[in-house]
Amino acid sequence: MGKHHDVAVVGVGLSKHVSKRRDVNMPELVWEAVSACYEDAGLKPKDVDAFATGNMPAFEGVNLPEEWGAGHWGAYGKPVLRITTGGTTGGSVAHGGYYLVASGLYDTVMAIAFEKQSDGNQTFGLNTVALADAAAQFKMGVDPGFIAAFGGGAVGVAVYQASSYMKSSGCTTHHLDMVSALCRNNAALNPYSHLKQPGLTPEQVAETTLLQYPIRFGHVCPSTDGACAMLFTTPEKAKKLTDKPAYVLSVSSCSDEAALVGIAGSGTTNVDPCEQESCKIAAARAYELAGIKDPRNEFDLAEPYAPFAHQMLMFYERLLLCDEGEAPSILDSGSMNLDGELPVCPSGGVISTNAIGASAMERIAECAVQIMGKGGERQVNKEVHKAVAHGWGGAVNLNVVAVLADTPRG
Amino acid sequence: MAAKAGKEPVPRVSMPLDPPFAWSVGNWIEHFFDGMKEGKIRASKCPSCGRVYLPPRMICERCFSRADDWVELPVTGTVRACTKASVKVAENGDMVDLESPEIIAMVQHDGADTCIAGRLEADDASIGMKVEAVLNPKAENALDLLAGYRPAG
Ligand SMILES: [Zn+2]
Repeated sequence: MGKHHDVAVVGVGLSKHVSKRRDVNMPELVWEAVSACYEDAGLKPKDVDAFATGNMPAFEGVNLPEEWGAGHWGAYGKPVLRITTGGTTGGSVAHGGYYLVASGLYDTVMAIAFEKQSDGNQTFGLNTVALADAAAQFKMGVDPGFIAAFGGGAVGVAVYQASSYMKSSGCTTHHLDMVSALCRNNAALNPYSHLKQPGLTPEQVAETTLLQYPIRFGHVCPSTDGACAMLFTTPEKAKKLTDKPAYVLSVSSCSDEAALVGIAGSGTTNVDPCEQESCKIAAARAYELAGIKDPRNEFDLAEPYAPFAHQMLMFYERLLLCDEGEAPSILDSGSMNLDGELPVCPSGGVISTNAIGASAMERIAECAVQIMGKGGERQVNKEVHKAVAHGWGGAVNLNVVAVLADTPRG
Repeated sequence: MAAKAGKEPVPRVSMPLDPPFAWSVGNWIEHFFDGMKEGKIRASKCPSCGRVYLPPRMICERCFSRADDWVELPVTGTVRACTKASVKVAENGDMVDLESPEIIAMVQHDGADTCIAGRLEADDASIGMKVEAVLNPKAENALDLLAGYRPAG
């Protein structure tokens, strides 16, 4: 299918992920992930032909960070391509790295995504994205105070989606608590995660502060400083580097109508924020490209992008891994656990670690790590042949999907 | 501009946004600041290629090595580029005239492979001019530790 080349993943690198890194500046933080990635692959900057990179614009208060940092990443004298798509940035950057190799233009490409959130202000960053929607409401005479309560930063984007999803699926607040407990326990086994809460129970999550119904403090991602890098190359070169590379079988993205808060003044016809049609379209296209005929049974692992608890279940459904409304009962069955039939978010997920620009790449990186068998304590209890990674972002209208496997398409 | 009779002008919505910003300088620049408090100019040196970075940086971008070595450089250096500013940017973002023009110079310290920008207290300046750094070790703000430059000697 198609004339593109197969692409292998031969290295993954992650920085330490914490809330504030005052000991390093942005390029130095990214260097940690980059140098870990070179080491993982056994490659040096001279072996890399091109770079793809990105982060969230406006989140740190500096722009063109790829120009600030390229030399810290070994990109001196090399082509550098910046890609930024909001919350999906890391996914789009990895897709960009994949395209550069799949096109046959370059053999070996490093993809780098990062966020140093403590340098800037997340609410300010999000405001720059939401400006048009908010301005439209000002125009209609809506009080700015009401908009603040309605939007409430990133939580505001999630609460309407969560309540809609709960109504259509039968997901209860207990399911939200279970998702948080599952993810934070997985995160405790991941040295690169931010919020590690070993032994956390759904009951403890239920006791955290209610922010905006139905979202509690325990259902929300942290704000993280961190970076991720991946090395893509041709299958021929990969075989010389490692016995067990991962392969990217396909990538796909799909843009829906912009729908920042679902029913905002910008006039979108997306009235149901949990519909996420673009996720279903992106998933179906990615599966077709990858030759996946039965996603429910062919995948061994899923890394949906879920900064809010309900999204792990909602996107599990929108990634066509089960019927709509079925995910809560699958969670109940234990299938999503680290030792389950189809483990979900073995990394601990975005709900445990969210260096925004890096997060969607870290989903793909985790699939690669698990396929390569390098997951350490969080390595799932089964052979991982096929895995699906997802990202959600843009103006909360973009979904990105990648399918990874232990063998190329052939 | 006045609206045409019978038509409302297009509404213009003002959205005041205040972007907070806190660049972490990192340990290399911290070490540089700490040195100036003792009257020392500290530069980092790449162990692979020998390039000397002032202000110091953690990674030598030419060879991707950690610039882990430290050297102390003299206050003296050479102007590599300079200009004379006649306006400055006020706190509110407006351009305002300076009372008298200020010379801003890119100075390569003796022993450094890089330049550092600073205000040069001199009547005139030219490329190749020998200058020396004026340190202000008692400055409360780290960014004022290097007060500027003056003609050498
Ligand atoms: Zn060097």
